[in-house]
Amino acid sequence: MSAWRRWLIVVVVVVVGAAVSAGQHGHGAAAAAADDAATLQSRQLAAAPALAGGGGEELDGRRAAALAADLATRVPLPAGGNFNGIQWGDLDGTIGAALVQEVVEYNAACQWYRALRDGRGVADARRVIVDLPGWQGIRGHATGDLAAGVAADVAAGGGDVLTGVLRQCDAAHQREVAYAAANGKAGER
Amino acid sequence: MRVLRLTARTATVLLAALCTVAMSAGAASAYVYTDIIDFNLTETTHTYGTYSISGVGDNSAYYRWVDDPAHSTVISGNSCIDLSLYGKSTIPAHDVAYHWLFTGSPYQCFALRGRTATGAGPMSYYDGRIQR
Repeated sequence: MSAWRRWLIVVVVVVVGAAVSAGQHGHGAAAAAADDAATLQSRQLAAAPALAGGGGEELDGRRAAALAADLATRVPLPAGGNFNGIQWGDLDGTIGAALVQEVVEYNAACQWYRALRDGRGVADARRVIVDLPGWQGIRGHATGDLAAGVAADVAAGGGDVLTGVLRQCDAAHQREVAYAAANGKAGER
Repeated sequence: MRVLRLTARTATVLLAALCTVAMSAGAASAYVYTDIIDFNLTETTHTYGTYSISGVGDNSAYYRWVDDPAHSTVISGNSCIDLSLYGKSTIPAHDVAYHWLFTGSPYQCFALRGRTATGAGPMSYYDGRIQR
């Protein structure tokens, strides 16, 4: 084999090796980027231990809103999402702390369902929707059962539960945007 | 012959109508029932838990007391998403019949809430039932 041929083989091997290495690095970076904050928060909620029984302390609307604001920092939302539409200010009587968390998490679920349907942050939405039935606040409740039904329908490409829940999410979205605006706040996307 | 044909046609229509009515009645009578154990009420509204409209009933939620209620009560259903009020019903003392709360749509989630009438005082360890 002539010298130039040996050099050609070396060059080809080096170039191919570099290309493969770059491809692997690029794939790893993409995977890491996809494992973003929303996905990590979602996994943390799914891995969190069950809440203590009894429903927790009974809170009036003002204290429920304060607890919800604290919980909101740990509950992932799609881009443009917020919790400004939950009607804490109009709450008659009291609500248990556990139900505050359930409402906040199910509100977030609705925002993820609409995001997926509307083609916003689809990869994140798909990952979060798989986790949702196990989130700490809705696990074991009617909301968790609905989230499981939605996740199954999403995996199957559609179904009655997804359709029914989305209908409610859309109706709630209209109310939430109006409620937020009436209180001088931005509505969720 | 013509009379016979008309009669047969009429009979067919009647039979179809009867089948439709029977099927509707069958669908309307299919509900999901959930027992509500120890719904402890005071004069301040609070929440018992969350439930959803089934896909088999008439898309409505109803509530009844199983234990004979000593006081008049107000039972309501609120959205699990934003807590907005879907509907409520005032149930007189000693009334154990079902009371309509609201009509929604299949898989609609609601929080069951309740209180006793103003001035009635608390009512503890009473059982009820949701029809949904």
